[in-house]
Amino acid sequence: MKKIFNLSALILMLSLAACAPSEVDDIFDENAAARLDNAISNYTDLFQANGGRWLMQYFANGDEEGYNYIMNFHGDGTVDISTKNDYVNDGAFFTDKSLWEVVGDYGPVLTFNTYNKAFHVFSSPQSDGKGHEGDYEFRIISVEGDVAHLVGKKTGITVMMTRLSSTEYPTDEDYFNEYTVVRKNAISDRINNLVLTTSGGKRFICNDASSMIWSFYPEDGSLLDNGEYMNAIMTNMGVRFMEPLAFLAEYDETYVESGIEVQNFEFQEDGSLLCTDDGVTRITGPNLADLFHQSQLGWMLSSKEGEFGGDFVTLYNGIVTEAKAKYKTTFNWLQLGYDAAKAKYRLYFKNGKYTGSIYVNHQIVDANTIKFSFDPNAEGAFDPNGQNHYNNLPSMQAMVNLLCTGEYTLTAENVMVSNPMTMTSKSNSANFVVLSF
Amino acid sequence: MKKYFKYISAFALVAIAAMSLTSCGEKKLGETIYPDVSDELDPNSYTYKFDKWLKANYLDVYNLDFQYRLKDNETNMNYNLEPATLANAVDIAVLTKYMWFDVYEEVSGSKEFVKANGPRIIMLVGSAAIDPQMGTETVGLAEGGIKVTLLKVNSMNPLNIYAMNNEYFHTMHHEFTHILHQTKSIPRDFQLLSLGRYDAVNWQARDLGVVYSLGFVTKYASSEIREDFAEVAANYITKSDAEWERIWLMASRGFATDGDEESGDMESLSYYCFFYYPNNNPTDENGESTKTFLEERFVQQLEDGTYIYKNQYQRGVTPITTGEDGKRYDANGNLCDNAGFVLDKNGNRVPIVVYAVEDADGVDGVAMLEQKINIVRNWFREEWGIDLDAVRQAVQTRISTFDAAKLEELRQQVYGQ
Repeated sequence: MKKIFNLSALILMLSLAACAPSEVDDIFDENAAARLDNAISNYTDLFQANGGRWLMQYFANGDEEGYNYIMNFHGDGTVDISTKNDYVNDGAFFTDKSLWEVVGDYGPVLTFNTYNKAFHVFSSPQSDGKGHEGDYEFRIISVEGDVAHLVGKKTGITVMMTRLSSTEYPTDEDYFNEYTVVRKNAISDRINNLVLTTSGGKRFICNDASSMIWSFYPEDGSLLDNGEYMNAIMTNMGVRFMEPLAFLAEYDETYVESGIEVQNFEFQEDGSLLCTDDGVTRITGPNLADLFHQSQLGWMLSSKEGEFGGDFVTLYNGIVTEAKAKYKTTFNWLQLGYDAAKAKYRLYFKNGKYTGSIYVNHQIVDANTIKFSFDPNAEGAFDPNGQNHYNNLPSMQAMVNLLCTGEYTLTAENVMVSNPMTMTSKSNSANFVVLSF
Repeated sequence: MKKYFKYISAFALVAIAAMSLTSCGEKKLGETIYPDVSDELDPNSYTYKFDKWLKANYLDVYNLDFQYRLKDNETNMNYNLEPATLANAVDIAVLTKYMWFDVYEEVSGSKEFVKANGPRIIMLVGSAAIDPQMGTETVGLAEGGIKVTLLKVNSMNPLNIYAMNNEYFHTMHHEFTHILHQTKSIPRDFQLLSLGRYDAVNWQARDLGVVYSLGFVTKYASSEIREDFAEVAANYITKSDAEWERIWLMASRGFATDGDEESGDMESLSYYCFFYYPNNNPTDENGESTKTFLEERFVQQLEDGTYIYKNQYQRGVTPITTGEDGKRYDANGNLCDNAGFVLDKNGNRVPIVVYAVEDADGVDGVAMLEQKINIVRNWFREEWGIDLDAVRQAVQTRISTFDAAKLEELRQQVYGQ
């Protein structure tokens, strides 16, 4: 009986509680619809404020590089979109006008909802029904100051927009003209083995950076066993990977301890890329001795004024004069490069229609120091033309002797694309040559 | 104690019931939480003239939202789609009105028919919807009787009237027919006509001649009943007399293939409705049939109704020798010219005779088409009060008189406001 009484009382109390008027306070000042409406209005104003010019770092998918777009948002609902990439206008700079809106969808969404020839090529299905599978609608995650974080509605890929200064780049084409130069100077498709040094000092080899589909592996590992890949976008300011390089934490505990994820890199004066997320992680080119050693590069010894110094000037001019006198020819150029097949450096020259080679031995002293030696009696020291010129042109012989005297220090202004590189005699700094490929 | 229990139980039940009826009563609804958004157009907007025209010609008249700005949540997210260009959106908007809405207004005598039965939304998509697995391309959609999606808007050339007719005007009338039969169902007689001959999976691999012969107006019509119904109406309305007659001519023929139908590789098979025997000889020297299939473009029909192979003649059987009369004869004694071609009694070369492939599919394609168009025509008249022939006449007139000047005139409705 008591149980029944208690049960009845419990039911009664629950009913009273369930039916009691709600006393929950609203944590927002406005209802959801009004907040969304305000957000749409605010974002619309923000995008077109201060000239309405933004640089969008756009990723269509996870398998290709990101592309630079300049969005000029106008108050009449139009947007002028500029780009320079291989998929638009045969790679030449291009601008097109279309419409934009901030709409209410899954929260506020920035949409480019009429076709723009510069932009929608990445959303087009093309003949296979897929195309690049890129977004043209983006959920707005945040707009803080001059930075907007968006997420592609279909792909879920994060896309960043930063406000672009009209002072620095008066026209959109100015930005892309500079971009061409920046990209050329920043990364060369002829230089592999870039080095990422983590905050804890661990070194990773980075390849294929010029394609912006970077591969990484620890210096003491291999691409096959430890390879990781990440696509990236280069802007005039630096490089941003599509996603953080989470694999670094597996090798370097400092990232685990700090909780910092490495994703954004900014160009430094020396051309290196410094991570702006932790201020420590850095990407540089290979050390200069290693780069000098790469067989695919043929380093030219420039004879231009200022790119040849000290005795090298005198001797090069002597070679030219002596060649004219001896062979009645015009001496064209002198090149120094590593011949992997012979495991030697080769002084390679062209005199009139003849070419010739003189092979010197080398020793890498340290990361930036190299030393040469030469034995004219050793097997394979010359090819026939090389021997002929070595024997008949005193300045050529003296040039080889000068090259093989003492150590040379290698220096370069740009540590990413170390081209040109200067090779300076340690014993006499007046003797130098500027090498370029 | 039992007595108390009864009282207590009764009290509890009454209390619960009372609470349920009072405390949980419906609250009076407050004001809407949605902001009061003005539907007035912004005169400073780049699209003000277009939006104003759409409002005056679609929204206000037909209660129709003409969506030229693509919203991907209004689409099938499995497809990769691109938005329409603004310029083409303007063109398709004025052409949709001219070739569709105005036609029904002209035929029915008022705007009420389309207002009552037309879509509530027309959405534009710049690209086609291409299924990466099937390789099929969707150029139009009608959903739930209220929404029509027109695709491939970016690739249209308004001055190529043939392409416009086949790609866009056809799509409009096709999708409108879907909307109509989503309201009043397809007649049962029609549903039974081609039952068992539809192929919802491999319709696109079927040969056009074969589907004509089976009594379908297009390959897509052979996919399923509702597409068959919409295709009959849309093709009847938009196809020119010559195109329509061509379908009937092909429907009257039989088709055969010289490939291996058992292979299952339908796309690589070619179907022919004519064949011939080389040198008019049904068998070769081993007595085997020499039947060879021929494309229609090589066939010429003579006045007596027979067919010949264009510019091809019967060769004499070697050796060809000179007779006592000085004329040349082949091994069978046929008179030949110097080039070795057999001559008839009038001295003319003998043409290669061509034969029509027997229509062995068991379907009288012409009769089937006649039944289908009659059912569709009656359905429009009886269910909707619409004279389908008048619709066809109005569309054909508009198509035949359409040119650059007309297009410009239509555009000026938008740009010239």
